[in-house]
Amino acid sequence: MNAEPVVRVHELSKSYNQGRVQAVRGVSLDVSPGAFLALAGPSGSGKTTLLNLIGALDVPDEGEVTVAGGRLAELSEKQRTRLRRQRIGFVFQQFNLVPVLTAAENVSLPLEILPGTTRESRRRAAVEMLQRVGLEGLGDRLPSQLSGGQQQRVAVARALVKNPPLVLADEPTANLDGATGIALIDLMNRMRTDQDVSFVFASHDPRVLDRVDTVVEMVDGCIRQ
Amino acid sequence: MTAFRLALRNLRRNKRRTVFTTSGLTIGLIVMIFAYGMLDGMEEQALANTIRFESAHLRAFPAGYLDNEFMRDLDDLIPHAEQLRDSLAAEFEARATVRLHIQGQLISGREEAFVDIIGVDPERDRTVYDVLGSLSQGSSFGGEDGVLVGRKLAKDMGFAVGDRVTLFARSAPGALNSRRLPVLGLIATGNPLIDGHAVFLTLSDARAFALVEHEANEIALLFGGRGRAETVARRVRARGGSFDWQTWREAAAGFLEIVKLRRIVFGFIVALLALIAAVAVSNTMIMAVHERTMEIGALRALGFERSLIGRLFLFEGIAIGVIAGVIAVVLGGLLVTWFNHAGISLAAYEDMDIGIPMSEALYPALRWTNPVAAFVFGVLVTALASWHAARRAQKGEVVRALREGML
Ligand SMILES: Nc1ncnc2c1ncn2[C@@H]1O[C@H](COP(=O)(O)OP(=O)(O)O)[C@@H](O)[C@H]1O
Ligand SMILES: [Mg+2]
Repeated sequence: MNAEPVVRVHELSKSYNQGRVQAVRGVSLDVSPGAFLALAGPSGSGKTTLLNLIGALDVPDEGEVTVAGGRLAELSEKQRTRLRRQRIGFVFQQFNLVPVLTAAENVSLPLEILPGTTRESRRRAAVEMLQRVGLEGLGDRLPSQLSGGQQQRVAVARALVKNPPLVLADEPTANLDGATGIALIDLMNRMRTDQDVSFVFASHDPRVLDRVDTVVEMVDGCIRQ
Repeated sequence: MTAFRLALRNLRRNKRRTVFTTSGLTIGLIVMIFAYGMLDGMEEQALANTIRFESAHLRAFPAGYLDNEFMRDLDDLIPHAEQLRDSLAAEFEARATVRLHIQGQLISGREEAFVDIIGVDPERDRTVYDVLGSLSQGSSFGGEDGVLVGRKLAKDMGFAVGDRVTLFARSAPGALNSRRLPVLGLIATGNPLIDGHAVFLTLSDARAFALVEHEANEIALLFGGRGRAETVARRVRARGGSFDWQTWREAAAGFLEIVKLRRIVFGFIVALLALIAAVAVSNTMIMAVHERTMEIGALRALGFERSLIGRLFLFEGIAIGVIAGVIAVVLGGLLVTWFNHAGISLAAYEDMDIGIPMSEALYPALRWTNPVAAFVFGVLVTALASWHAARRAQKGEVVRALREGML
């Protein structure tokens, strides 16, 4: 495990409301390839903020983030968008599937905005991903025709279809009941080994924390050593 | 491609809202297509009516005739009118006829009215004008002496075919003259100037009445096409001479002005419709953006560019315009085509002078320009209306969008 980290966070700070809310304070963190890591901590401790900074969704006030070798501070907004498009998968608490697209179309959506994919290659990739997340034959269903657990599996397939080195998942199990949540985490764990991808979670769900390799505790925007 | 397909799918999201907005716009566009078809038809028919019954393509009058609409005496006349008629007809390859107008009164019982007594050449007049062919009752010249009278005039004054009426006017030498003649027939042209104010005599009767021999005060020309009138008018005017010339377009200027006015009024109505449609579409799209805040955030996280998000909403709005446009072109086109055949009866308004010569039915004009204009208009309005929503959709920050969606 002495390969170059997928994510490097150095002395990162972010505040909101003109500095009145210090959401992340001087955080440093490395995520190695193939990691299965959770940012834990109570609500409001800065997990989502840190995850968003790592995911190039937000820009820090101070400090530095490096993702897959690229320093985010040096990227323009367009370049950050491209980085997300090519290198980072996202899974959200609310699933956030596009309700008017079928499961298969949702999965292939990230490929549609990547250059050099054909309709056929996208279709095949979607079918394969759906099979791998255990939704074989459900590709033609709309999200509304799927259970919560199934929808989140579609979301996992959508995050992984472009083969990113990093997937960020913010409270992915918060809207799933007991067994479903566990099954989802187990699925992601399997995908991690199959596909050589790092998962970073933001979660205070014990079902997640019990199953990840590393738990990073956050309190008031800081990492508790 | 992605944006386009997504936009179309998104329309199905809130079906009722989409249907509501789209059908509102569709109705507006149909109204637009139909109303402009009516205006065009009205203009076209009124022009045709004017040419057929009133102005021919080009007319020559004695100098000063046109300036003196209400006090025309017979002092100035065109001498040897038939000779001039024949030379004009030959030179410009036109059909031509001579008329003599006498301002006078028609008396029937206790009723009297100011009328235009028109002497017409029974043979030639019908090669230029359709008046003699527009008999609604009775018969034309040919047997006994008599007059043909506009139907509305007869109705207003309460006489009928076979009744005798008295014509009363000043003759060319200046003495008053009168003549009592039977009504041979009634004429219905839809042209208020004819139906309500004209009395026709044969040219020879009219000349005898006015005490003139070879003079007249109108020579009417009809060319192969009406477009030729301007050219000929320019040439004959350039020669100078003691004539007033009037083309059909100049004769129609009055009601063309009215039609233009209606177009302007209607333009305002259309602008108002556009505004309503724009507000409706804009509102629909703003609501859509608002409802999908979190989804927008998620798509941006997946790597959708701001501009792509914007296009998504722009296309969605424009799609409303395209759909409404297509339906409106089809339905509006069918409606106009139907009424273009069937006509819209104006019989109920027969006695109303709307200032535009019309026959008994109005036929909206079949022109491809109106549906095309309506389509383009619909698309432009929706494009402008969704522009604002699209800007709003692409403006926000990803993090905020994702968070707001959660709240
Ligand atoms: N966009 C924002 N504007 C204002 N305050 C924010 C914003 N995002 C997060 N915060 C605040 O920052 C702190 C950390 O929030 P967050 O990172 O969402 O914590 P967690 O995910 O651990 O619950 C909270 O106090 C939260 O209210
Ligand atoms: Mg959070």
